[in-house]
Amino acid sequence: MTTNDTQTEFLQRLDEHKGLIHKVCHVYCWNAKDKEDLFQEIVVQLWRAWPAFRGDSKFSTWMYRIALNTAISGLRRQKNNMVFVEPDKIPSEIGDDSDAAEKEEQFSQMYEAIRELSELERAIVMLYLEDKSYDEMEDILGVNQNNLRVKMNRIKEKLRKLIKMPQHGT
Amino acid sequence: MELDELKDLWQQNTQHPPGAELRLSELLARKSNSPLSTIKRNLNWELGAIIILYGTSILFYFIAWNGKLESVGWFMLFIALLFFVYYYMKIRLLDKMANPAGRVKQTLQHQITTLESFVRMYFIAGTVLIPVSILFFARLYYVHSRYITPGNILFPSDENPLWKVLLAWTFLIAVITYLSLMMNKWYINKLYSRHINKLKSILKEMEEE
Repeated sequence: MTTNDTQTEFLQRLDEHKGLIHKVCHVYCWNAKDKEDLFQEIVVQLWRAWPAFRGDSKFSTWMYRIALNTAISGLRRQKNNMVFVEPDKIPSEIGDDSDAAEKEEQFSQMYEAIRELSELERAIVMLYLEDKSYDEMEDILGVNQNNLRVKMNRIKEKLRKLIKMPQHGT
Repeated sequence: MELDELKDLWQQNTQHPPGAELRLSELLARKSNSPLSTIKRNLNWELGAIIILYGTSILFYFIAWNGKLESVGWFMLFIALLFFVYYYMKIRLLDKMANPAGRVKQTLQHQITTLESFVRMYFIAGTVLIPVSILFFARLYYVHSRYITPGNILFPSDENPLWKVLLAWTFLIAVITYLSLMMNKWYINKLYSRHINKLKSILKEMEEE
């Protein structure tokens, strides 16, 4: 396989999963410049690691590991002059106008709340929202499942307080 | 609304940040801005500077004054060789650190261990160089100036017995080494400690039940 073929294959697979990188950037960065920088860094790291990818784990698992490693332990520093960015909008196709506004509000509250969490908690909640099984989460983070479940319960509790989401039955 | 109810919204959210429209292939052509890559680039700049500055100085000391100060040239060559060993070890350590495809916890553990070895090496090399250089230049000074500095406490003479000279040298080296050690500590702390502590705190959080 030539270098061009390798690059084409890599870019195709990356394109299919790039939403994943954007989500990591949203969760770990506050302003547009930082998000752009992190996105670029993750892509570069993925490309560097690509020749060693043997398919032992799922492509998305492999991508998550690299994206989270780059975001968490990549010695990144948030710029001090943080700029508030508009909360992410929910896709317009979800719901009608009236509850779309409500959901949009909840969604932006959720993003804001996630950003209040620690780096590790953000990773856990992101994988949870991505509907990853605890097995996969363990495979990505290297934290055992029991520990992850305990942490997840704590995170839910924390988020409830932060978002002030009413609990079921109340 | 519970967190679980937001899963659908989350999974359907595919909004891209500004700048995301850049072609992926263009991103691949850019250089990495990760701190690891920055350390590597700085190290290569350091290597370039050492080759140019030391190379020129070594040549100068071998040629100038009919080679009377060629010992300085030899000493600088020795330091340059030490730097090459140091450079090689540092590059190897940095390469070992660059494994972002591992599990996050293992990558963190690995990065902390490697970064601490890196810092230790930096600290030891920076600190040891000072007394070695002082002793070398003292010897040089002694060889070339002992007749014009009679009574100097740093060199043995009738007035200054050997024990006095040794004491003076020990004091001088201890003070200068201590000052350079403090400076190194401050510099390393500024460069790496905050990050190492940050990584350690994330790892601790991972291990806590």
